Amino acid sequence: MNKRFWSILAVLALALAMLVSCAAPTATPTVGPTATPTPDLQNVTLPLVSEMVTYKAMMSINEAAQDYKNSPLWTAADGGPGEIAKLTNVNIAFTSILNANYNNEFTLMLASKQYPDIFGYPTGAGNTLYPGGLEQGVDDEVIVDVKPLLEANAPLYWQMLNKPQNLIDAQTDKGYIPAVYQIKTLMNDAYASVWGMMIRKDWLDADGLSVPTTMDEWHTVLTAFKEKNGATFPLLKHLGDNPIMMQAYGIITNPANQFGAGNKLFYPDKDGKIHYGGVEQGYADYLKMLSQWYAEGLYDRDFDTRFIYDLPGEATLVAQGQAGATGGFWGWSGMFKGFAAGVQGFQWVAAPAPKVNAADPNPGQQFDVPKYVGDAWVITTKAANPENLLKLFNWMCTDKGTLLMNYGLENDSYTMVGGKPTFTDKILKSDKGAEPFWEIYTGNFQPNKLVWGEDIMTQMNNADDIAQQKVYTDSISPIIVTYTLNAEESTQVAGIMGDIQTYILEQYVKAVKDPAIAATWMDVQAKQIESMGIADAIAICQTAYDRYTAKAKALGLQ
Amino acid sequence: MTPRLKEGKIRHDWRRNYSYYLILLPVLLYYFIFLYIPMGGLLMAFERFNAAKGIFHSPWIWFGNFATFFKSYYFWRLIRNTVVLSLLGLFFGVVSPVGLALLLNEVKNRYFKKTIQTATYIPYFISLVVAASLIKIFVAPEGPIGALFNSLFGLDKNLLTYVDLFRPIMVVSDMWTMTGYIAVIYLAALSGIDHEQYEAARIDGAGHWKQLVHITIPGIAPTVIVLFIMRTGQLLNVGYEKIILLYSPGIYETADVISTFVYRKGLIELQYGYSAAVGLFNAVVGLLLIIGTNWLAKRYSETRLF
Repeated sequence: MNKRFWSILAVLALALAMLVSCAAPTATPTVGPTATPTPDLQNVTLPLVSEMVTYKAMMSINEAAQDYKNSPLWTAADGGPGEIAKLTNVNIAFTSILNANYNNEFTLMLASKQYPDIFGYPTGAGNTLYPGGLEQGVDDEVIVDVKPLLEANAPLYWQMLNKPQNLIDAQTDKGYIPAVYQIKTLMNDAYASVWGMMIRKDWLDADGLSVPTTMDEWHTVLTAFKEKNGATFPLLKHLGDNPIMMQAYGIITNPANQFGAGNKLFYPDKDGKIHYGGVEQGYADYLKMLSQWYAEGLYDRDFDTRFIYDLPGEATLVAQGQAGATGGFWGWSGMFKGFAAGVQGFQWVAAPAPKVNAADPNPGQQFDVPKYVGDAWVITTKAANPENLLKLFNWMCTDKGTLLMNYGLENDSYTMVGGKPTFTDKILKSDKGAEPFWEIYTGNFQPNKLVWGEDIMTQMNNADDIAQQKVYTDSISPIIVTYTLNAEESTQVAGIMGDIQTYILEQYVKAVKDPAIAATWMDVQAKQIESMGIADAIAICQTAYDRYTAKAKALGLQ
Repeated sequence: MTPRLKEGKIRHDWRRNYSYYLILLPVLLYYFIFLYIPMGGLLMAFERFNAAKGIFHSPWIWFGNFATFFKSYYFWRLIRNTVVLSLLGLFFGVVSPVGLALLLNEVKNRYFKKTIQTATYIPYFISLVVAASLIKIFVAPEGPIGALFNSLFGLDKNLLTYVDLFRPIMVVSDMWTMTGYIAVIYLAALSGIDHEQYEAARIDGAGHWKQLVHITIPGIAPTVIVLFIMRTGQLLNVGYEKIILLYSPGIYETADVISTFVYRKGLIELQYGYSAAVGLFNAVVGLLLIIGTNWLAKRYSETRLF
């Protein structure tokens, strides 16, 4: 092992030497624009601790393959400590849990008080996962507030994090930093929209139509799909249930979102006033349109029984020529193309966010995950010497660490081409797709996360796909809904929303199926929702949102 | 003097039967560990439960969760749906296997009887998730049942999207999966009836029908009653797993029952305290029903469960 350790160190040193010697300006982007560290902070002595220490971690993963045990960085082939531990002597032993089960496992963990030393906290989990949020966790003495420890133990990471754009989401109202957050480098530094409409371009061409932009154009296109292309389901229910068409009517978050709570249901307008879509005229207009489309056979006949994440099901219908358009995450468009690989001339493209009238401004779109900070790793009070973990995360932000964490092992997942780390086919040509395999290979936690930066984005995606995704970003205007409710507010809102959630989920389905219900929505359903106390819930969310804007102001962001 | 006498009795009993008590011990431990200790979790029903604070330190709100449920907009609808689905299940869950058992009992050809029995028994072994997927395929517009129904009534929708069809689908699919299995129990009871009784009846001139009414049915009545009482305890406990697999918000009107509501509140919206309260309410009503039915059965027949 000792031999191996030194050889790896030598390889890394060589890699660094190459980086430095080819010190052309092109070499710097590997570290990302957020990090401009001074040389002495880069100088981290390895190993970080003299004898190997092991910490227990509980993480959520997207799919079984993403188990950290499958990442050579975290786990060696023989199941022992991976490359990171060999270099640093800080080892992390993982229990990986599928996303779908994470909430329950997490609650069981809390209730049993059997905390691991670290646990994963997905971005956007807000206050629902840890009751009352991570701030409450610090007050409960379950979670370590790392803020006082960062400067001494993780100076490089602290230098990257300590900016208002990060602190707005990483620092709690009481001033804690309750976790080590990933800091994202973004392509074009833009809050990129990742979801929108997708449509069969070859059908459009055959019908002599162009990619639709307004609701009227969509109506024409879907009618043509039905009549000329023989589609049974011209427009499928949006995957993930995002309010793609709703937002054209000013409804920013989907009120009939079965997994919704707090900021997933209530959104601010441009004056900072909080709204609930279910009682807005815009929502009634949207339902009116959708029910008309449904009656004409343009909208998904099975929308009410279709699972909102039924990606393979929808991809099959598209490949069979039964469906011509849907909404969803752009990252999933590969699946549609894959399923339709045998279809002659198949073209699947992004359509810009629809508007009601061509002259309307870009519709607002909800952004419920922070712009620059991502998934978090939370250190619990069970961890002995949390400083070791902070040192580890700090080391991951050095040039060497960043390279290892984001590109993997040289000559395995990447090679140096002209002084620039370039992914090998092992990553780029993986059966799983480049990004999913990259997530498996690297373990998907990088304090300095470059995967959405320009370099990795352009390596992993072809220019066409990137241009397609830009269609989404260019056709919307972001509305940030990352404000969070505190424990008391969450409980109160959940109490009020209990019946309203059931009511709107049911009534929305009925309104789409029956234009008469959609037509009288404001007089019947909206009134009913009001009588169930929606105004109180809106007022509570308004307080939470005002607190968020005050914090942003204090940080000098607004 | 009595206590000493009693003590002597217990000691005597232990000395005589200790081996039986030891055999019983694992069972008692099982009940204690897996069924009684978890009942501590019911405390959640009276709390504004916070997992981080745990069961013993969450704020105590007495019957607050129950009050919320009783005042809920959907309280009566949940009760109605649960009771209706259960009564339908209770009725068809008894009538169809008893009917099948009686019919099979009359079949004289051994091979035919075995074939039918096996064919009706097999669906029981299909796992619930698979069975639900099959049901979904059958009632889809392209599926055999869906296509037939739609062509008869000139419709083009998935049958699971009709509010009025959810209950029939539940009942028919339950019959499909369960009838053969439960019929086996009644067949066993039927085979226990003394053949001499039939012979005596035939000598007295009783036909098939009279034999059925006066010998067969009274012969299996105790089994029917015991199974019936056990099912009443489950009255509010309709098979929610299957409902969750089959329902959608559009048909909550008939499909949403107490246990699916508990599932949504507890596991999706993470309101554990509220969810526990609704679950506890459900269990208490179930217990009252089982005691009530047992009392009625005791009163009007000689069969009872306890």
